[in-house]
Amino acid sequence: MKPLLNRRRILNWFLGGSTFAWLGSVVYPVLRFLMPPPEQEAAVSAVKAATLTEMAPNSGKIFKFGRKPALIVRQPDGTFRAFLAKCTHLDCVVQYREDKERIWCACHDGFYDLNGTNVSGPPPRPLDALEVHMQGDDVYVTRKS
Amino acid sequence: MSTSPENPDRALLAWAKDRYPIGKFVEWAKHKTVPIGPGAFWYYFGGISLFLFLIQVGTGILLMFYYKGSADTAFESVRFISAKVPFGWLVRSVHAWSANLMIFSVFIHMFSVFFMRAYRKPRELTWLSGIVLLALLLGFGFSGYLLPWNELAFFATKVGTDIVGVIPVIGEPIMYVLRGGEEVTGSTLPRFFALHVALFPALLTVFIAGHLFFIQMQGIHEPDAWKAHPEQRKTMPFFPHFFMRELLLWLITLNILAVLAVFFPAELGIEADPFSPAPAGIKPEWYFLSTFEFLKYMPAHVGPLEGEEFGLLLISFGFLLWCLVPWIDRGRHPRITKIVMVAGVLILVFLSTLTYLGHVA
Amino acid sequence: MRKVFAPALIVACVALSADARAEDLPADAGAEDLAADTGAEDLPGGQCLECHLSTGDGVAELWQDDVHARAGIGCETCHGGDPVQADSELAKRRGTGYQGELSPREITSSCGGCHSDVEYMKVRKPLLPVDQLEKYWTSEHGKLLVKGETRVAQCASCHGAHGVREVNDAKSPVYAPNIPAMCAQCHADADYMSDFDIETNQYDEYTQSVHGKALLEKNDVRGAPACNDCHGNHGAAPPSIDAITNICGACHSYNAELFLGSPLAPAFKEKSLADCVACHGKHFITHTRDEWEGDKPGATCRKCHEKGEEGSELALYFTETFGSVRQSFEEIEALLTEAEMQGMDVTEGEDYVEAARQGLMQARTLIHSFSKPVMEEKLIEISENQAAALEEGFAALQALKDRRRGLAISTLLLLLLTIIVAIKIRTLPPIE
Repeated sequence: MKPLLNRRRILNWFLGGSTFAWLGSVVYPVLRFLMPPPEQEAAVSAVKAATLTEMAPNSGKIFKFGRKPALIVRQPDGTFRAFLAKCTHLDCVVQYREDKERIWCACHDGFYDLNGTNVSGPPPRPLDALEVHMQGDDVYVTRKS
Repeated sequence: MSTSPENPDRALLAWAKDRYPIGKFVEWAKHKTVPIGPGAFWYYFGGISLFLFLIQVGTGILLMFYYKGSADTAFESVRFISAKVPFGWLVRSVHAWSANLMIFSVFIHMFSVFFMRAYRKPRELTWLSGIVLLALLLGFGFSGYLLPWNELAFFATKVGTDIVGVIPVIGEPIMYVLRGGEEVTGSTLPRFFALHVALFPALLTVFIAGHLFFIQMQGIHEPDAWKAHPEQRKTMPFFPHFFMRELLLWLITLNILAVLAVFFPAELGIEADPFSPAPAGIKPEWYFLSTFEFLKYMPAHVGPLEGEEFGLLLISFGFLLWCLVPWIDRGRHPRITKIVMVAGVLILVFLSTLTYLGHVA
Repeated sequence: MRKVFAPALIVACVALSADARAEDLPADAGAEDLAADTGAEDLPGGQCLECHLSTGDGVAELWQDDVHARAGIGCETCHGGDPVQADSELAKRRGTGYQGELSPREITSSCGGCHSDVEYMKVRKPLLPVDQLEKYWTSEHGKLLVKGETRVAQCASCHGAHGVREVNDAKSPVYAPNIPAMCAQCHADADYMSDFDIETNQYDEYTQSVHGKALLEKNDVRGAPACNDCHGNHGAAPPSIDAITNICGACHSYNAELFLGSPLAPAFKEKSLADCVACHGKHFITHTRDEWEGDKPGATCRKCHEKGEEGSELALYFTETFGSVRQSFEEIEALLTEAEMQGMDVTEGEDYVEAARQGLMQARTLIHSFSKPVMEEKLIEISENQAAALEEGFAALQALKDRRRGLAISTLLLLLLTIIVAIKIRTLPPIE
């Protein structure tokens, strides 16, 4: 009788131990999951594109809106406009031309005005516009609602 | 095991026993038995379904920690879960796989109950509540499919809700409410999210409770043959014999989920764009494939009805018959029983064939 | 002598045809348009149309869609005659100024009569230029016509005679994608061109070029150039060497700017090399390839630069660095594809690849500065993006390994647990 009891006891020990170990392999991922990752979340609805002081009037800057390149322009009158920076012709990244006060695609000399309208060259349609919000000194850009 | 009174476990038990009728519960548990008939293996699938549901609750809650249910952010938040959150891929893939396995195991459970004729008196309500549970699970699957807001899900939802709109009179309003407008748009997503994480879980909990309560009250169905030959009757104690075996199956199921999640992680595809044309090869999830395929074979018009309307009418009629099976076959006429059983086989073959055809189409 | 003669002739023609042209503006252009849609009898042309619809010469049918018909201009404007007379003899009688088929010279003066009249066009089609005829006389076609060569293109050769459509009408022969084939009707016809000292393979070459493919296959109507975009339309002529950088630079402005600022611009001028065309060719312009540079015999740069020279060294630098950049792309692509096939999310890696590709495209443009430091800066940017993409790919594969290791550990633990539970089940008291 006694050795049987002992065997059962050992078995229970093993059962408890391995349950514990296995539970660890379940709990560990869950705990890790709950710790937020340090990187900024990829899901963007608003991006801080620039600060007021950083951009002089009549200048432009490329920034990342989510995964896409975007262009923020400070117009000569000091106000801001933002667009997705992909040219509607062949997807090159556009830039701001201070000398012409227009948005320019270097690939085939396409021009957009500061409303994003394609005004000359190959681009078939306007740039996709984004919305600009000011918050103190910061310029935030969101999707067009 | 030690029985010494100093053992803190025992002390806690004694404390509880002093306040709650634990003894009665233990007594009940000791006497709970499970019949060991020729189909005893199939009994495990009810429990497996339950276990998978618990996994869904767990992983679902975890996913909600990061998921953002709006059209602007849903896709990227799911990508964030899969790509950036530690073990996010695991939680998401387990959630997706467990959903599929659960519906599969519920189907097995339902057909095993059917072929064992366990739906008969006094278990009619257990059968009906089970059908409601299946419907709820399909609703879970349909609403959950849209949540990653990818192209495939977007268009599958469009097609799926279109089918709802075919129902005469009430179809259009239901479709309108489901979609949150004329079309599937960003307004549809919060609605599906609410259904998926609030309404359906609440209903499911109520119906699971009812389903289990009925089983508890009436015990598990015993093979018909035992009535004539009581000497063949054989049972095993629920605790610990059946419970241990069930536990073993649960553990194996969980490991299968982990293997599936590692080797076939849930895909994300590309983000839905309501203004883009539908891509080729839009298909619903496999458990809707047979319905989808069936409706495809409908002619354009049947009498005064449109083909799809007629198809839905047939499906509804079949579904109603399936619900009424406990009353159709009460076990009084062997011929009716035989017809019902053959019909069951035919339905199984029919559904499998259509699903297969839908899959290869 | 001839130069004086041509303008004089134009003046004379304009003066002549001024009598014949339609002086009256249509009373109600809108109603006219509507009428044009409803039936032939409402079109200007009067009795001429009545007969010509049945003669089977097709003229009246073509006239249905003609912009001039819709503008209320009748047959008599170009052909004279009396459109009121139902009898053809009477309609074409002496004194009506009737003239059947117009000669090429007559066509230019007939069209030019209205189209170069600023006052006349200002009222009817204000946005249309009025310098077509003036330009035409500067074109090779015009110059030859003046010399009496009638096999050259004039207005009707390209625009058609009785079914003239607007340029942006896709059915018009001068709609951009239709232009190459239209020019080719003569220019690709070796027999027809045999008396002119000019090749006939331009159309063939053009259709295989980047421009031809973009226009004819990708239908990039706004972007890709047809024949006229480089040669001019009414003033069609082979561009002079000096004009080439400006012509290509109309679209490839940054390339032109870089080139003109590079040490190669004065060197090309000295050697009378045709700037862009010297390296890229003209009608058969294909995508550039890295092998073009380098110091191998046959490479573009070797045309002028001997092996070992400074220019040749630079060419070698370009070809080697671009080669390695391209090779890196292949490695990255293979890596990311492998990771993606196994279900890993590599979108961030792909973003870096995309950024590097944009950089490579810019680097290819920067070649035109022919400066090593300028290129080095861009190449650093490219290689940074490529390195980041590689890192993403390796990280994804590493994560995949980690996943499998984790799964193995958890499975082992589970196996242990399973065995123990199985043993436990065996030790349970036997079922009664």
